[in-house]
Amino acid sequence: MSRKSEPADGREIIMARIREASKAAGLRAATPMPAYDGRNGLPEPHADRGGRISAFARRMEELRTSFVLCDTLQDAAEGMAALCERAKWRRLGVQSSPFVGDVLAGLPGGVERVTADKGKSALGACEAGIVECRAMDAQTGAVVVGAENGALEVSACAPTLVVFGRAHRLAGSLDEAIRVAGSPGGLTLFTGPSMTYGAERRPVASGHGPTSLVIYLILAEK
Amino acid sequence: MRNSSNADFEKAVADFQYDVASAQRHRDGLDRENWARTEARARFRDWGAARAAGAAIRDADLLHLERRLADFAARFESAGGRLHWAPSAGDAREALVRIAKEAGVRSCVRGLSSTLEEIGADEALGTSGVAVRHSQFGDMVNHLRGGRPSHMLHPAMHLSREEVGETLHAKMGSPTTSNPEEQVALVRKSLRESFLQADMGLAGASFLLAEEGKVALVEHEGNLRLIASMPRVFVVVAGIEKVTESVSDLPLLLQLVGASAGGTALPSGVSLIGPDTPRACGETAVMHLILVDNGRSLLLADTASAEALRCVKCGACADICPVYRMAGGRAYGSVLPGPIGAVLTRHLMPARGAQALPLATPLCGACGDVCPVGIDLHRALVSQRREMPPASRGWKVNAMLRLHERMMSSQARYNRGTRIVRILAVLADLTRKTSFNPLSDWMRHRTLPETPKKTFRGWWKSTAGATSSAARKDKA
Repeated sequence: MSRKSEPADGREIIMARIREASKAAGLRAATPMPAYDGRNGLPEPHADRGGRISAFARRMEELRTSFVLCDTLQDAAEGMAALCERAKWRRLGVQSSPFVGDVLAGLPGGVERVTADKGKSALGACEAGIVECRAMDAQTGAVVVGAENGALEVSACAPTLVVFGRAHRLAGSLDEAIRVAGSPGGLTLFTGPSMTYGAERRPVASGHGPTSLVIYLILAEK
Repeated sequence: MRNSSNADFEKAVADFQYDVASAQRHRDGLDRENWARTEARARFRDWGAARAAGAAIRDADLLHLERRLADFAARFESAGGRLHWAPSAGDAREALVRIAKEAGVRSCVRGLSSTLEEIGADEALGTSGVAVRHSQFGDMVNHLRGGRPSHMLHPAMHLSREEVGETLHAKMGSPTTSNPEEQVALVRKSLRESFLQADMGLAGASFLLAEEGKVALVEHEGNLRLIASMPRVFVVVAGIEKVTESVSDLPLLLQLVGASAGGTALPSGVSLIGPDTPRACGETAVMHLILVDNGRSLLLADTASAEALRCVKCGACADICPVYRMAGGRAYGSVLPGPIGAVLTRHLMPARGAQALPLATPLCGACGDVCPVGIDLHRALVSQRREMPPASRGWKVNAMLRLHERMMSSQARYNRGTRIVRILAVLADLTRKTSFNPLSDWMRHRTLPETPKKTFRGWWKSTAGATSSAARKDKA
């Protein structure tokens, strides 16, 4: 991949202008830097696991997201199979990961699993997308999904997004959730289904992203 | 040139007010938003402290802008991204067209972005034969109607659901419906093919993360995720001021944006995407970033207005502004209506004719109070008013300012002036409905306060106040 397609002078011109502006020091004179702790004004983080789970469940309700608490991976797999039957899904976009493979183990026969490598059109025709969650935040209700193994495309295309996460990845604050998620190629934070503010500035659930969101939280660590 | 004068603004406001239903919808929307914002801020442990921290983060970014940009550029390019530096809007357009030509782009789907409007992305791509589709619902409807945006985040908030239904029917051939859910579903269906087939995705960025070399895309609809993940070419156009130190700044900034932009804990979707993010379903995908200066470095050197570059584009200052409430967003003639637009438009989009916009504010300070990153908009607006060319203020304002200056520069003139003003006030009231009165437009809907029988100085002399001040003088 080539590094730069632009003549170097574009960069030099901008950097020189910034240096010149810094000499004028308008900003420095106008706004002295206060000492701060970036988190001291944010809502109180939840410290204990029980408090986090109940706070997260409350946030999911506020955000019109279906929340299912499961004791084990087996329970989650059974719940997913039942959901698939109820919704009569025949084509699912799925992230290629062993964890997602496990939770889809109980799917009824005849349900096609479409991974991102099958192409955009195949993914676009899916009725739901299944991804694994890298972290969750009890405070804001954010669900952090990575971009690896097709998770970005699956989560972007699906009309209904089903996310599976483990309780040890439920953080007490957004700051912690981003740390827990680590640094894969990319991250997406979902806070409820997509919303559109169209006519009259009234929020309408739905847009181009998932119109409904389902979260399975698995308590068992293994 | 649009809205180049005070008179154009006034005419646009009058048109807006005559459309009673639209003006009411606008005010109802603002009331809902301001209430939601108040509730969201109450969830913070200490909103003031969070806001001060947000301001400090953004200030540090601006103070170390050169280093932040250099760090970002190194990370972005080492991850395989192609960076284009654009000192002006023209340079940004050239870079965009060059990218499209080199990649053989015929179709493009884009998100809502004031930076894309600033550089004139649609026109540049259109003249190069690239078909552009707008994907954000309100932006798309507004674009189909050929109208001006009424809000930086909600460009079609002035429209009724019936008007939206008629537009979708007339321009897209969809069945007529005034149900918002059905309208959104129709647009979703219509645009899905565009997302899957488009050669290029085009978006603005909310933040650029220097340590990670990634861009943060903030949205509600999910269109930006599709734009970033589906087309084989992904182009982001961002102002140089968008760079922030690292992902560790984001939790605070995003929560400030969420509370201020939609009254929520967080925007419903935030994606951190870089050149190394796997995209386009395994096809070769290239990510470009066009970094735009276009007046920002000049603004950085401006003592009174540099803070405006902290802006996180939440729209809260517009929502709270009494002038925006009565004028509607389209009167501003800018993609950034409201107080922050009055400051930024003059620097970033001078061709759009924004010289008179700093007058479109009562200087009440509400915009600065509500800003999640504490921009002193009041100070910036006063400074910009001082810099305004006299011609842009209109002859009435200039004449009154000159008279006021003369009157206030001498005590004798001030004393005489106060006596004359009392007589003029009576005359103005008597001639309020006649064309002889230069204030007749203003007085059509307003009444001057009743003129007191005595001037303040006259009253002061006649009370014990005069005696006590004389005694103080003697004592001294």
